[in-house]
Amino acid sequence: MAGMPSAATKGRLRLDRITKTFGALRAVDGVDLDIEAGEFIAFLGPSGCGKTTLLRIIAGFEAADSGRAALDGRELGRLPPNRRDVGLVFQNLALFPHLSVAQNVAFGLELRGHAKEAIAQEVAQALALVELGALSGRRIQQLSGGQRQRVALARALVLEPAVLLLDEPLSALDLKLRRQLQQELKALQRRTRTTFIFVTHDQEEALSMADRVAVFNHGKLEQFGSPRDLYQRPASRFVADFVGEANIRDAAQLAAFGVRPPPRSLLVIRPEDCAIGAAATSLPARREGVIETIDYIGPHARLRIGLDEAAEPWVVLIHGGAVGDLAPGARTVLGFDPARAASVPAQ
Amino acid sequence: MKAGRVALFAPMAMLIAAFAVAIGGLIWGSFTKGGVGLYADLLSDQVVLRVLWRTVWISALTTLFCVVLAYPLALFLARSKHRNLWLILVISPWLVSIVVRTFGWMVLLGNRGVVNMTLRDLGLIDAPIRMLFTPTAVLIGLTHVFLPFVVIAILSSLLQQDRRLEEASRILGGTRWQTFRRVTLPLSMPGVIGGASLVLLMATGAIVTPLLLGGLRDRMLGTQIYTEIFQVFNFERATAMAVMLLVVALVLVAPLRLLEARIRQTQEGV
Repeated sequence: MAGMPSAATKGRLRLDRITKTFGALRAVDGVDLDIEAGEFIAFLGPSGCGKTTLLRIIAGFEAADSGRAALDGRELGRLPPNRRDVGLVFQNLALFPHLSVAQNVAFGLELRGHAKEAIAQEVAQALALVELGALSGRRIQQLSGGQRQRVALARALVLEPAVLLLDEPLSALDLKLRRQLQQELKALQRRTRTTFIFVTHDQEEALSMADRVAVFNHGKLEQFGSPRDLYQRPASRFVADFVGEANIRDAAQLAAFGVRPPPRSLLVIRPEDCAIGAAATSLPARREGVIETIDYIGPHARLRIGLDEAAEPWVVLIHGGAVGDLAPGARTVLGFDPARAASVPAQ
Repeated sequence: MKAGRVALFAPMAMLIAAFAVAIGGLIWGSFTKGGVGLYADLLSDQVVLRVLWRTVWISALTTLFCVVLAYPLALFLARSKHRNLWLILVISPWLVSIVVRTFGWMVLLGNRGVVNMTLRDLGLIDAPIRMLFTPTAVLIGLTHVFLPFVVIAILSSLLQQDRRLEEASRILGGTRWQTFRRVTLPLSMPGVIGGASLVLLMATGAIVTPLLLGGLRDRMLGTQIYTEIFQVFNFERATAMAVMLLVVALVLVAPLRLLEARIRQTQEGV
């Protein structure tokens, strides 16, 4: 460790074929994950994909039907939540309403039987870490949403858990506060070097915050990789569709462009990799189409272009300044470069 | 709109008016007809003072037993998957008249009752243990009658609790017992205090159970008033005692209400 004084020393989590069923529903289906110490991981997926159940299994609130979980080489097995060295920030935060801010943060330390003076010091440090030092005497009901968020974080982090689980903790906040807290959370993770596992259904949130993202669908792990991997090299049609926007086309739909995807595969063409009009003429794959809609967003504009009545329109993202006098109904040329497109298995 | 509002408040106004007239009339009557001397007589009467003291300690103990017995039951109900089924069992005694239920205890506790006969048949005792017509019998009877009220008060408080709070305590390192002590119990105190206040009020004014199980010697204030009216026909004395009962009930319940207000203040941050 001599060369890497700041490297995380604990928080390596291995999941091995974790499965959990509720009645006929396979909530978590044979999930393998290997998470390194100090990583910021996002569990991403639509609601009901099993990400929260997996989180609760790691926390010890649910028992897996089969599979193993180990934290820093220690089997978690049937260890109760209080003996796992795992922290959890709940979706509704679950702050204790009968305790003050400082008492909430001190809760876990008191259970561990720390000395009174030590607790006071640790609480003060934790509250300073989340910039809440001035509010330690307040009651939870007197805090704003963002402040409560920080109390929940301080309460979990003061115990220095090996892994901190966060169950969609930002979902109740408005967009602006959400963006701000995302940044703070990321900085906090870097400072504390704790392994964070952040559950979210917001792909933008997952991509912008995490070192690696695990995408779940119907209880199965679809892909585990860096945000760039997920976006540029999706492993499945689901990932291509769920992470970012994509035009996903099969061989029959691509035939008219003169493009042939690999056998039993679909091509994933990102909207920003498409071009229209003059910009499209230099691209290898082109077809003429009609602009159906234009959503002008400022920096860019999102166009839907129909090639023929029956088929699904293509989504194209162009520079905002390039919209010019384009209008719905106008004919234009749509082009893309198949070499830039990813391919995913057809089923 | 206005007529609607009047219609809404009319029943409440009637209740308040009737109550004010009745209680006001009661207090007024006890002073005008009997005078302060009546109260002085009562407070220097050894029998009355003993009844008063017995009322206080039996009510307090009944409340204590009810809370201690009701809490685990309410906790079990709150956690049970078949809550409604169990709940029916808990409140089913209300389907039976209180007189009948109390007679049940007479059958059990009497000198030739089920308990004594069983103990004798087992060879554990030679002479019957005196249980019926003792304060113990009253205590058992009152606890039995009032228990469901406390169960329901505590249960509703437990069901309002966010289960995530208990999980938060567990993940912060709390054992089950620590979690109960530091989270579940303090957050359910409003229900405990509400149930306790209810029992305390009902117990101080109880008539049927002390009359049947306590007999003529071990009277409580309620039974004493009953006797004054229906056997001695001394209405003034009965009225003065009723005022005493009112004061006793208020004095007993007041600290509980203050405690509840304090808890509410800290928990809701008002």
